[in-house]
Amino acid sequence: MRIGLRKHFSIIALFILPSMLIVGLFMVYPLFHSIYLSLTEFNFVYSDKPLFVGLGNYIDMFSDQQFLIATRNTLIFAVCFFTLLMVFSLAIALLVTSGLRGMKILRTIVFMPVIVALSLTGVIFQWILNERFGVLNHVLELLHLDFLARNWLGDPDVALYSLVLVSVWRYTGIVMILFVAGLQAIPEDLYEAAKLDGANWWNRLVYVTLPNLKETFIVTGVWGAMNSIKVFEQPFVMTYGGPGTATSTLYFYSWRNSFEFFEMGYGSSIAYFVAVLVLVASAINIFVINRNKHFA
Amino acid sequence: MKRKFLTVGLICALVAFMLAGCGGGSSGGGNTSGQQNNNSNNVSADQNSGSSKQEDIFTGKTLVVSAQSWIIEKWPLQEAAEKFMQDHPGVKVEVKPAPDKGEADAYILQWSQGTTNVDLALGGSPADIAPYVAKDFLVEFDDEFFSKIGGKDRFVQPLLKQGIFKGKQYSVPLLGEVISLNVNVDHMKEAGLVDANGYPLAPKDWNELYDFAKKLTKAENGKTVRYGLAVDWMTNFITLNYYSGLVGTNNGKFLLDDGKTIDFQSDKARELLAFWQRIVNDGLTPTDGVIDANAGRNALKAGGVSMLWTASSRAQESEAVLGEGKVVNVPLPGTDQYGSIVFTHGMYIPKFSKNVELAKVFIQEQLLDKYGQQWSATKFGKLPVITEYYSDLSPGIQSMLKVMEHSHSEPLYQEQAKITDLMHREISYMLTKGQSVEQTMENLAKGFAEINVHIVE
Repeated sequence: MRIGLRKHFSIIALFILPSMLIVGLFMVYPLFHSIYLSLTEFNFVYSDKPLFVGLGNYIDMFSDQQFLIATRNTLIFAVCFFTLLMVFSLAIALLVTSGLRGMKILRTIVFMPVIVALSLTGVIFQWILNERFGVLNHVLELLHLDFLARNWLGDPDVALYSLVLVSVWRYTGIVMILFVAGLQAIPEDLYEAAKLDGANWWNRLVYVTLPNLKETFIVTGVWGAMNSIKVFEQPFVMTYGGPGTATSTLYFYSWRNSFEFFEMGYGSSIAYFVAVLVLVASAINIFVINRNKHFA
Repeated sequence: MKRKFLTVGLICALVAFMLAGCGGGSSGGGNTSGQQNNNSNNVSADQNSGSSKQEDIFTGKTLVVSAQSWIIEKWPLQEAAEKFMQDHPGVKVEVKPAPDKGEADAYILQWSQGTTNVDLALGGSPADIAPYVAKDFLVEFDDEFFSKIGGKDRFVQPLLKQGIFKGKQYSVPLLGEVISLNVNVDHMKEAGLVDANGYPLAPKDWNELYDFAKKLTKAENGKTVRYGLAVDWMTNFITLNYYSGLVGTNNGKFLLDDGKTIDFQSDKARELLAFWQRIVNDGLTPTDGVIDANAGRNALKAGGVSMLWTASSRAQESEAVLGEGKVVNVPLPGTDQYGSIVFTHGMYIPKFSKNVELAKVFIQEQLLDKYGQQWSATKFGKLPVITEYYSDLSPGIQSMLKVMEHSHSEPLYQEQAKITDLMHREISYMLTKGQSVEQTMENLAKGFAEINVHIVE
């Protein structure tokens, strides 16, 4: 019996070992090593070895003007992007599952941007949003809305919001699909019962649909919070953090410190600050949904 | 049970031996079996092709050439690789694209681990290459290398000197660039800004360049349809363009007397920044060059701007779209007298390569060959690095040789990326957020002092 058990566990260990090795080598080790790096001053090119500075990098970052600007930009981006993403995705998901004609086509159209590479999206929107040759300003002119035409990416007051809109366009499809899956899982009986009780469309939405989407809201919320805080590709491809620092975000600033300035220690500490922000945002999202009476 | 394990173990060992045997034979070089293979091939190579002994030792090797992706488009690299393989039967040359400047560093992480998957890297200004020298990653090009191609004197000297770090040649230039104005000839004619021969005039000072830009700017129904001047203000050109603006108007100087501090404080620096701000405020230049590295060249090709302040090669590139002779180079104010800023894209070999000698021969035979150098110059304005190759090129390209001879190089700062970031940020604020020239100068000087720069000698 004992030999059989030992053999059983040996086989299990044999199967688990490769994945544990991969996880250990490519996830656990880099994780701990980067924590260590974040506690050091280390210029990857010009320092001989990392110099341990304790929490020095974490303290210094709060007196670094560029870091503070990047934090502000990230938070503005996160709030705008998250709100618009959730509202648009849910609205389109409701429309798509309404049973109206042409909704399958709409679902495909909304999902299409998801399959376009983000770097390509950036290049396309650089053209669309160009002040002089861009399609957007041209269309606004045709509609006699010239006063709305802007230098969408070159104006520091507008550039960050342009990135928000491009990101919403890019990601709405995937969140919409998650909402559609959640909506389709709600039993039809609940709607029929609500109708018999005289509930109108709004009441059915608030008292039947939303409470039954609790799990979906948690999943999409965590996903949305992560993607809204770890924004990188959009400023990297479309504005390179500019004009000035108007679109510099935390991940972008972390990347620049690590791979442009070669300051691996400082870059790592910013990355961990981002990780903490994501955790906090996700926790708030779960807490709010769990406490909200509509989701009870 | 034990017998089963023994059998499995034996089979594994047998398979391992077989695989090891296969690997040794196919390997290009570096390991013992590979060397043996090369030695055995020497005989047949001698008999068949009559190649020299030095060429024969490369048979069976694979040379991996990594080039920034734009170089693959603007230099006949694939052709060079094929020609080299024809000349050296048994040698394989693979050309791999690397990220362009500003996208990522393709090599430093890998080379820091003491390994490389490329034998020869192409692309990168001296400032980009400086970190590799600092980390002692590169092979030196010694006198023997140059003696085989007729000596160092054949090179355009300001370009060759850009590969010298700490007194040693760690990079050989593949092509040269010089900062100038690229102007649309038809627009200049239309605005009456040409000489008696119909050649565009060169502005003598900022006031004259402002007047040129004003005459060339065109509006229809209150909307600008053509800007007189565009400046590449993105991170890839901001420092070079600042230096070039200063060097021509400040008696050939853009550094303070200590030789390492960029001049952000003089009256000439103020005049340059004020000029940039004025042309933006007066609507003579677009600001998309602050965030889009390709905005200026695209606009020049589309006829949306008349003059572009950037690398001289944009002229030939735009000619391909607008027609031959339609875009030419004219010097920035003062640079005809005091020289402009030159920079190169270099060729360098990592120490960890197992094919160092093969890479050197590839450079000598193909990359410094007249055909490739002139092809790139004619089609894309990338300036040849060998002086004699200019003799049968167009007068426009020939004139660049003269400009280059008394031009200046950018300083090699260890902290180049931080300086670029500082200048891009503050000048962007000045151009797009209305930050005053005085404040910009103060921020630049203060920011530069805080970086505490070190120069790679």
